[in-house]
Amino acid sequence: MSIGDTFLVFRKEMTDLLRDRRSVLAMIVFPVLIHPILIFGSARLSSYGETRLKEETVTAVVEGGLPDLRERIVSAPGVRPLRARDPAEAVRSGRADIGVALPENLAISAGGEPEAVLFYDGSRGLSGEAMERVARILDEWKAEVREARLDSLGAAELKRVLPVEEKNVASEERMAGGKLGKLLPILLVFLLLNGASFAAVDLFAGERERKTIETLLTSLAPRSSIVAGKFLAVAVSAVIATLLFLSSSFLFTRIRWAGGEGLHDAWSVSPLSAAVVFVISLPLAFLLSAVLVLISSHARTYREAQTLLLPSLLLGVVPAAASVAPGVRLESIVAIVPIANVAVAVREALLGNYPILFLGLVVLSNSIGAYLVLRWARAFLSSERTVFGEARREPGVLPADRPRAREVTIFFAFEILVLYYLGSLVQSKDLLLGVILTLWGFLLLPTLVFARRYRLDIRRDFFLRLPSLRHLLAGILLAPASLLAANLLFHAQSRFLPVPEDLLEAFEKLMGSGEGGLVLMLFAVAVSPGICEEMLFRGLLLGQYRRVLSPTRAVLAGGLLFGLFHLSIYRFLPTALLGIIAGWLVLRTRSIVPAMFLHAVYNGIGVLAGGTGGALEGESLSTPWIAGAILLAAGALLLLREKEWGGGDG
Amino acid sequence: MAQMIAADRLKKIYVDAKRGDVVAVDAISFDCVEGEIFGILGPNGAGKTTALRMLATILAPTSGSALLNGYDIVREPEKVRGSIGYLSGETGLYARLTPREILRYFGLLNRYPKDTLEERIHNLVTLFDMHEFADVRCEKLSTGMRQKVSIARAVVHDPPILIFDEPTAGLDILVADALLTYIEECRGQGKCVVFSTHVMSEAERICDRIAVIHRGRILAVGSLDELRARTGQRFLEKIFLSLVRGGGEG
Amino acid sequence: MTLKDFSLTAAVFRTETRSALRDRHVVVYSLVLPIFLYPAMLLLFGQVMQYRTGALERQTARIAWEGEEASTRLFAELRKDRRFEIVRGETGEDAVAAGALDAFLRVRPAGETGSAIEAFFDLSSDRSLTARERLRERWEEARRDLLRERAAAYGATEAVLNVLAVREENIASPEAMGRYVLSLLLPMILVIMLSMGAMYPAIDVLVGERERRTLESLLASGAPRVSVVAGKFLSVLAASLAALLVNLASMILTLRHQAGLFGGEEEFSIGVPWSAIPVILGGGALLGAFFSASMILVASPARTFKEGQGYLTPFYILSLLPAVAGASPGVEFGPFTALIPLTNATLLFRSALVGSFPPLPTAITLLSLLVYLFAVLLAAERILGREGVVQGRVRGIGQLRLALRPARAISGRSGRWRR
Repeated sequence: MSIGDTFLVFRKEMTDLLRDRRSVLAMIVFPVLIHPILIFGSARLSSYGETRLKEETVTAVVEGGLPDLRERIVSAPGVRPLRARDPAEAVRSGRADIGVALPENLAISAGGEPEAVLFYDGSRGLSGEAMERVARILDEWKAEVREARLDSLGAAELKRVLPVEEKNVASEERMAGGKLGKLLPILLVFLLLNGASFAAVDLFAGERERKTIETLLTSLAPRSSIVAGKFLAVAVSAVIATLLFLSSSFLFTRIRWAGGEGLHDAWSVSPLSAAVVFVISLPLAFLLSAVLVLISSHARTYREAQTLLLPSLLLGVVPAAASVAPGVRLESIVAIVPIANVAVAVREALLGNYPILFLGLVVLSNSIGAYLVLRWARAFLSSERTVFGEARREPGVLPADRPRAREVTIFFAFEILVLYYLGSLVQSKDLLLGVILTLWGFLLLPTLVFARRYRLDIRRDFFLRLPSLRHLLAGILLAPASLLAANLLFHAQSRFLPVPEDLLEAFEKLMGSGEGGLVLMLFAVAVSPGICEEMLFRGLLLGQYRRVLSPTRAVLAGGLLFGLFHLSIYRFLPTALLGIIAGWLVLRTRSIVPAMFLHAVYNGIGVLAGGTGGALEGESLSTPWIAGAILLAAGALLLLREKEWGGGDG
Repeated sequence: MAQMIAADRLKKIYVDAKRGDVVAVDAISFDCVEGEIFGILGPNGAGKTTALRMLATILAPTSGSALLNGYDIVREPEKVRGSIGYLSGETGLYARLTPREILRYFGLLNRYPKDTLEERIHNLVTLFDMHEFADVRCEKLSTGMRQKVSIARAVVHDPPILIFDEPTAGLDILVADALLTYIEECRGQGKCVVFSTHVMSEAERICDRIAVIHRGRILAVGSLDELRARTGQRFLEKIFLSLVRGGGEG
Repeated sequence: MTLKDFSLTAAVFRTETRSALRDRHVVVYSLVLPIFLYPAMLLLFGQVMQYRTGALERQTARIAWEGEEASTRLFAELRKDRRFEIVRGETGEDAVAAGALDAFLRVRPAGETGSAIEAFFDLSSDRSLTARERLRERWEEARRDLLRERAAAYGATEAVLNVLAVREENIASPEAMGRYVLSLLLPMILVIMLSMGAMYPAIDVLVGERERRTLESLLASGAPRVSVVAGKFLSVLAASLAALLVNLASMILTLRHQAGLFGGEEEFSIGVPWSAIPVILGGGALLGAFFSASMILVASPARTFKEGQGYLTPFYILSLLPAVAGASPGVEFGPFTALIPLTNATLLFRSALVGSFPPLPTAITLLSLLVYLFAVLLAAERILGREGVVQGRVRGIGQLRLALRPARAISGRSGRWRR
């Protein structure tokens, strides 16, 4: 790489960008004017709506005894009394916003305490507001009556039992920092991506579209310099746009009408905090710009680049948002997770904490991330696809007929959707039968239909052939060890991903219900998944991925999708592990049947060991269990190995 | 005379989603020396552009290689790039930069000495008669003006080898003539020019030697006279047709 | 327009729609995204909430205190509660400020006002906030117990202290609640989707065609200009309405599903009243037509797709504001708000979703939307009728103004295209 060339490219790109009306729009006009107007305008509008609701007069029907309380309610400011016999009916008909049915008196009868009922219509905003107002009046009145009673009992001391005085030790500055810290990290990701996206798309996809890329590629400048120079231009645009937005919102908050509450006092953060925030957002700007450069260098046209932008936005926002979760601290493993660590560091810096060592890690990890992404982008820059602007691939292991990996992946996404809607619908009616219907009807059947539609050979493409007895045995023997490994993984991950207790309870209740008898349970939870899920994942997905990917990658990809399929962050890694083991077994034995047995036995042990809750909690992790599982696994490996000596059959 | 280009069994295979493997260029070999205009003549889709892109190091050959100015296109692509000027008929320009800025940019990128670069640009502006529009943004220029800028851009660093891929495509006859004249001048300066076209009259006019390429293969190489002798035809058009029909299908 | 013109319009419409359906961008943004977006968003949200719960459960509140006289029972409870971690060696409010403690309690010795607890928190820290929440729970409980015991000494029961029980009763049916929730969420999204659905096709039909250099042949085809423009306009409108419907359906399905998952069916029953459908479709068609026409118009001076986007993005973003206004609580559907474009449509959707159709505002809304649409169509006819615009010779917004000046507009019938 040459610094001179990099700077040359950078300077040319900045000139080019600043001469383009649209990029000036994206880099300057939008952040300075349009985004603040939108943000503060809508904030203003909604606070206006709320204020109006608070000021609106509500109509109240108050019936029953306790005249002093009744008088207090109807004479309160903003309440218009209405006479009606039935308060509930008055609210239902819409004539009143709130109906109050008071008891005749405060006597405690045999029927229990006296009770006041507030009738309101939750589907009308004003009625909810009226309910809150009246409830407040009731509370005040109750407190007064209680104090009067205590006085009359001579028990004035009971007015103050265990008084607690809460005090806040945080300075105003820290409070402001804390407030801003919740908002700024996510905002930063948005702003930086927004400021960078136009430049990124224009500089690569645009260059390709305008057919100037060839001349650039035949120049003497190294490709790394070209990428670096363009990347710098993108990053600078991102930083400029972000700074402009922040300063412009600062000015907006000074204008009275804008009343940007959250942001207004946020500006009292100390200059040091602001400086630290700026410095640690630079690596974030680099990383996000690098990602955009990658996207843009991959895209053949401007529009294609734009289509790819949305996923990148999600990719950036999710880690930033996740870092706001409770208990996430910079002094932990988080410090090396790009994007998320910047979000945490920004939050900490706004609170006045600057752990230098970890800040260094933040800068380092994001810069390394940016560097790796850029290297990847450089590869795209010189790849044929990008020069030609049409899909052409290098020849390789690919068979000449059309790969179906994409269609298969789309089918997978479709299956998730089916499961999400239909599966949970039938399972909410009857759990076990619902599971069986889901697996056979919504999983296996569509898989077979798909196979037929694309004229796949069920035997060959799904590895559906009889295995040797030895392989079958190996599959069964592998199950306990796989369960053990998944268990250990689950435990390891729960250090970072603690499972909520009610989720565990719900799961245990589900599995331990024993409803429908053990046989039905085993069929639904062990046998059916073993057949149906294997057919989809190890049959269709693995079979088709294997055609376009190396064995390792195909097994990994299939396993990860299997993990994703269970739609839970807690089950993702353990199930992905099972998927990977099963996939490996299929490729090893060239048959799907051992994997089916592995899966069925795996789930079966889970059911028998007192509900899969046991597997989740790891209570069954006793030493004999572990030793036995390892021994069986060793046996399985031996069986699989010996087969190889015997020479592979077709 | 020094050999400037030596292509050795250059081959390029693509995988197309629908058609499977496509051999775009099938092991072509040829060479050119300095002061020579080497024409590559072929119909659309014959593989001319792919071959020239491989020479220009934009594409990597599937197999085979070529030496340009003594550098290998596979092993030393950076050094090759310093020795060539590349121009194709569809090359674009940076719309928001002026011709002068573009020339300066590529001059610097190609390591033309800084102290003499402005002089070089001035000479090129004079040579191509660009004074009127040298400081106007390219988006406002006409097709002919743009092509002048493109040519100047390709030669700004004074490379010993020029690779022109159908440079006259879409040009009117006056501009095309000026371009061909310029290419002839380059030959006079001892440059090695590779020039692809499907226009017979252009090839006839300026090429010292011609390679007829069809379906990725070179059917014949030689001077016009040699090709005449080989095919027994007088005009290049007839020569071409007899080669393509005779060698291509058979 | 003659019958033949109509069939030409239909032909243009069919071609445009087919080509849009073959465009990956359109398919992804108008169809795939809405179908997957809402379930994915809710799923993701659910996972994040679970993660938060799990993380919160595991997080202990680090506390310390000084002196125990006030309520030994409270502190005994705190020691037993596993959610608290009693930190030794850290003490004082400074430890809270330094982040070593989440809360510090100081028991003031009993004076003439009785003993009291001072509780120190760092309210800028989430952990400290959680600690406060848990501590409040604990001392409310301790206070209740204490009060009950001591009140008994005076002969007072809990009921005497309670005075009056208050019950809040929501008379709205689950259906009404469901509609209310939808009316808060949906209208703005529907307006945004209508405009987003129109955006890409609106650029594509004119500017995209110009960029692909197919416009000239189309205009030279002898089909009346009016048919061409009408067909294109209808295809943009169709895309816009399709986006509306797909989003509406997907969103309602997802919400229904999610409500069912949480067993909230007793409280919410998500659904749209049948009477709302024609109103949403009618209002949507008018608004969609308004968007389609104005977006084609705004994008028309652009030479490239990209440039077209540059023109439309500010238009699109600024058009969000009135939609936001319509969705804010407290903004009512009245004769005046029914006049503001976009705000009125949002309010119309809002009131239709809860099943109310105030006649005057509804009529004003539909009428004013019709007037705005007509005005835009008129402007479009005038501007797009000028040959320069269609050819792409009028460039930039500034020059659009020139085009707006009344001129010999080439009418549809004699619209033979001359240089």
